[in-house]
Amino acid sequence: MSSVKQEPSIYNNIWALGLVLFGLFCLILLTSFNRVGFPISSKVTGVVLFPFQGGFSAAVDGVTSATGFIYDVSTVYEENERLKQEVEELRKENLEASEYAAENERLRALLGYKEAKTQFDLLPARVIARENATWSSMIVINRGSNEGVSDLMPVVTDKGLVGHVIEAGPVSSKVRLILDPRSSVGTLVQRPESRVMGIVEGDINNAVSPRMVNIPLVADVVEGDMIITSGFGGVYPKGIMVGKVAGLKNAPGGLLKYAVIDTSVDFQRLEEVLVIIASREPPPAPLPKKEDKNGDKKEDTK
Amino acid sequence: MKKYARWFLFLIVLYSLQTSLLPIISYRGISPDLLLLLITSFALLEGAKYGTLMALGAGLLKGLGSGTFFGIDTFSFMIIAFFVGRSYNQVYREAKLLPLAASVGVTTLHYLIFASFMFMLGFRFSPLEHMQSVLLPMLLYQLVFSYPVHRLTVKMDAWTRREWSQNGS
Repeated sequence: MSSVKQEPSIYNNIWALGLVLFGLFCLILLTSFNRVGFPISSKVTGVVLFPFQGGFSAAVDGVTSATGFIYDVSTVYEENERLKQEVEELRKENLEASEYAAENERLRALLGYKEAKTQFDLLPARVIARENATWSSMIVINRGSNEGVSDLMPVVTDKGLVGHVIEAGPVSSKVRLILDPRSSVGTLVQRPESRVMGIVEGDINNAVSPRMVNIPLVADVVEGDMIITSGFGGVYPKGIMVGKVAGLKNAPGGLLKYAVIDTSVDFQRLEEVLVIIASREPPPAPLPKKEDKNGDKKEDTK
Repeated sequence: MKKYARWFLFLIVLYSLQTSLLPIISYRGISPDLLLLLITSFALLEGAKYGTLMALGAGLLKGLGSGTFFGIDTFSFMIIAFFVGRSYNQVYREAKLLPLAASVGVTTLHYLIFASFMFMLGFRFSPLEHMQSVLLPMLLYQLVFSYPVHRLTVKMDAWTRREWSQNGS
């Protein structure tokens, strides 16, 4: 009778939505503990996003310089109106120079680390994107499988441990930071009298300080102890600096305690990182020198 | 097809801005969630059906692009877009305060959905402490960015509608 096209019932839409949500619910449960992944679609997304994220990331340097410049000029203006023009130009040059100097300093530190750590083959990379740290802590770097990066490779800076690669795309890779609640790193206390072991994991309550858990209540761990990787677990090589014990708290249950870790890497200012693409046993430390009867130092050859 | 390509490009640009540019103003790692604001505005303008579709795209992009907990964003975005879209006939869409008020509501809802999943997956945290350190700064960021994102979405929507009606396809 009527030729008016019938709108699909709202109940049909709700059913469709319910079905999709149920599918998503199952996917969440399967993927949250890495039982199922989407390597191909995830890599395609990485390739599509790479030029945009790379471009914006490069623009960030310019924005940082510009905002710093505006602040500087306004303070100089108050101080001396007559010299404004001159100061402005000098500051502009100075700003560029200091930006280069800061970058130079960072790269020099990374190079120094690379030369000092001969047991690692390191690949420098730039951070091009960062996920909101509400529930997880991830970054994206501008190196991928084309440059030899693969899953589970550790990522460091000259200051210490950053995290590990969880997904290497062709041109970019996703890195899970040690601050992520899903991350767990086998660690130990560096102090020779202690050497207590524990696991450093991200704290969901505190997005900037992870915790070292599973420490017995009577274990010899004190504030200020340096924490390094233990090498257990097969992902992180032994001896990489993780951070310093900032505080100790009793864990629920009363048998264990945990340490709040002040990370050695400043994750808020992460710009360049190094990917450990291969690691070997570190070369043996030089033998301690013994004094002979004449008072001269001699290498112990035993 | 062109219309969908434009929205897809808009989504990618917004997501790239969110992950590459906005972390420079982040507070303890917290920065605004532009995709959440986009799907809210889009659902207000286009209704539940298209809003939910946009939410599906935005959630998948976020899940695949970031390596965060896969699927939770999509799940939450779709529910939010559905409910916001259902109310699109009942609100005055030109109201200046609408995006601001909506941003507070949807951010809180998104947070609660995510928090429920985290509890369900076995991650334990203190809700009050977490809300104070994460939800509050997030709400402030969302409030600041809600109006600009809403205006951008309105402009984009008007542009695509205009072209759509001119081409008649």
